[in-house]
Amino acid sequence: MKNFILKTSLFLMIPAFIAFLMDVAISNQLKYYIKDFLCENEIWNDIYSSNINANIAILGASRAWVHFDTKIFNDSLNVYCYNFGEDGSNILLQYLRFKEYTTFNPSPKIVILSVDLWTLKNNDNKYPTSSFFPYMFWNTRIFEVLKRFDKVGSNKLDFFIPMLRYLNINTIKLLIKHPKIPYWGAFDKTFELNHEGKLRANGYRGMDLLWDTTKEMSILKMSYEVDIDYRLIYVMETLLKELIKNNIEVIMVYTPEYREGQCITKNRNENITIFENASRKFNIPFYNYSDSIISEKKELFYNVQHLNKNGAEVFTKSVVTSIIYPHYLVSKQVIVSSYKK
Amino acid sequence: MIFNSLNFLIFFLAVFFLYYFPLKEKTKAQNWLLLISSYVFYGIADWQMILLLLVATTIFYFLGLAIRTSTEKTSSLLTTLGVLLGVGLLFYFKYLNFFIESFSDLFNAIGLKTNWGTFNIILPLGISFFTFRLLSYVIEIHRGKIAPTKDFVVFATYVAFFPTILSGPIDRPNNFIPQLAGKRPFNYGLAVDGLRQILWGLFQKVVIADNLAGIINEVWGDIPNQSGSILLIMAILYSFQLYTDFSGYSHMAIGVGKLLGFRITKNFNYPYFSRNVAEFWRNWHISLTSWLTDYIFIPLNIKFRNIGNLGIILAIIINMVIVGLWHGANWTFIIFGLYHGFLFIPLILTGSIFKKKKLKVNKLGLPFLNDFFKIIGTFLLWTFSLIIFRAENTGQLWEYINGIFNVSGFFKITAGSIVLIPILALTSILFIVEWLERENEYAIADLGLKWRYPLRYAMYYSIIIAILWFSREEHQFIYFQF
Repeated sequence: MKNFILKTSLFLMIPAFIAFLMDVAISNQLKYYIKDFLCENEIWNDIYSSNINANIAILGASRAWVHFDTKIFNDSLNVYCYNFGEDGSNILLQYLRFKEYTTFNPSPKIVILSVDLWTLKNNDNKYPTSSFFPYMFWNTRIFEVLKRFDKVGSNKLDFFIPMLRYLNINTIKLLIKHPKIPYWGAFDKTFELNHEGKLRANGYRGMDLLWDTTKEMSILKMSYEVDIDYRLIYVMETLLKELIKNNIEVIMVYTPEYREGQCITKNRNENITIFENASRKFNIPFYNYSDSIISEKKELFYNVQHLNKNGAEVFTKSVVTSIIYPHYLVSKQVIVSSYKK
Repeated sequence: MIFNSLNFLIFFLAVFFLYYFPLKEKTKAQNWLLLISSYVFYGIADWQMILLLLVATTIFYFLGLAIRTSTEKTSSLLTTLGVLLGVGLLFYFKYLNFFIESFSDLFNAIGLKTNWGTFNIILPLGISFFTFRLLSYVIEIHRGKIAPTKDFVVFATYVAFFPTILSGPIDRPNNFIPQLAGKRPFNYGLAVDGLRQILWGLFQKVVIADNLAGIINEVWGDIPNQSGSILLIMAILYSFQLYTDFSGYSHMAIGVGKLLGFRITKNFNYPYFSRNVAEFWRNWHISLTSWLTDYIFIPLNIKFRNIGNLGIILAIIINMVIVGLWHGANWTFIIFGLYHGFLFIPLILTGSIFKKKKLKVNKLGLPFLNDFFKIIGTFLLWTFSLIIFRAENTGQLWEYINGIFNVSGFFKITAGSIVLIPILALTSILFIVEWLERENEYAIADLGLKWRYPLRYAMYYSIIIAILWFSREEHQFIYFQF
């Protein structure tokens, strides 16, 4: 019997140990050396190295990521603002990122929740879970969220068996290729790094891109309905409750969306009504930029949904001067005002 | 809790260590452990039916004791009562609604209006498997082939043994009860053999069956939009899926049994290398077909012996309809049974039904051309029957068959077909290994044992990597529903 247990253990443990070492090596490669268009690993690395300690945290999807210029926040308000915007994420993934952040870093004073059509979108089978690969090994918090996703990285074995999640064609291709080549393959080129050697400045990345008339005109002719996952309303409310409970001020913002493109989504109003209801329910300010002058100016956008770098600067200044500054006095630290909508 | 899940691994490890460490060589305590863990296992799958399992077990336990001590007449009466109880149990849970609906439809069709409602009956998991164990127990006692066990724990464990309760193999009491009653010291060779068999079962289930499941389900869910060639390919692939799913489960169940010191009845003997349907059914789901042969076919054959071949034909058709119906209450299963029954007729008329000729091979190790065509023919006949088996109703069956013969767009191959290439490659490897190792209990029972260690372990690790690679989606075993 002892012989059996010993041999079986050796049979399993030796490859498990080798796989573990390979897992560590590959995860490190993906964490620190690979630069892709989205560069989510920069954000995760900052979070897990307890490097952030932000006064103001911006949560949201890609529209948060490219719309809120953190440098303007920092320079104007003398605070430390970090943009946690995550491309393609819905509120569940945003909630996960915030939970991971507060697990390893102090809570922020203010959270700006950028809500949009992605916030409640059911993207269970579309989110690229590969961005979690280097961070998910034995991370049960990520597992609890990712188990909803019916793809690689959602099976419990991927979380607990070393190397298993990397056993897919794309990762193998990536590791064979030059490390600077993006691993999602969507944008097959390298990008210039900033002075910190990063692609995103405190999470923000200005998109120095122009409106693509041909592409966007065809998009403007489209019409579709966002698949709302109504369970995500509960997730959003849970996040809001937790923020309020921890004395974190919350501001909900619906950032500019090019006016002509607002009619593409048939159930856009339903989404906005849900956000308005949450705002009323939790007594949280909600600023909707859909009708703002910024939304009229095509030159500030690079596509229907996203502002370009200039647009982001104009928008962020507007947010800072017309929303944050009037309601929050800035001294050495952010002082929570008694503002109520 | 399916075998290829982390939950089962944890559950089994707990049972294994309790079984061989604190309870080592304490047969009674080990049996108690097996019984409790079997009920826990069953309860996790279907907690509502635990009481049913316990009550049925208790009744049959006392019936067994009473049959043995009664006079011949009372013994026959009690055995009949047991059979009626077992069949009644199956009839109520599995077939009652089907018969109500069918008779209602029939009466309505001939103009007699009926307003019969169906019952809200939950089908207990594994009922077809544990009921057959209960039935064979009383029948074997009545036939005097076994003595009833006085130990209730032994009997209850035989009925509910967790590796086999949900999908078999259906062990006979004369094989299994003596093993439960005897000592079961740890057997290194048997345990290692068990691990190898589990590995092969996992490969069949996780790598082949589960991967085929996704694409086959997709096609069956959208038959009108499929080309004839795709429907034909999927029919063939479904025969691979069903085999690897069920055979994979059986190997895992037998392997788990071996780790606990049991030798469970073999359920598959490379059926896809059979040269006619009779041979096929001797090699497919052996524990069920041998059960039905012993308790249905042989008694019927004896009853009809005065009418010659017609008697055998009648006996076989009834037997095969029961095989079909055993899988579920649906007309498609009855058609499936009838179809196979009729396939036996040429064999009966030519007198080759009971002939068992060993498959010979040429110098290259391949079957002779004559046998090769017989193997292909048998496989195609079986594949066609699985369209009947898989269809949810006769309408869908007709739609699928029509689709295959739809000439326009027959060769249209969809983009998704590309995912089939690695699976087909692995399926080919599986059948090549099975062909080469067909004399052994399972394909890797003996494979590599004489190789050098690095090569041998490279093979095992390759199988494990393939299993892990493909293990991301867990699919329920097809035979759980039966």
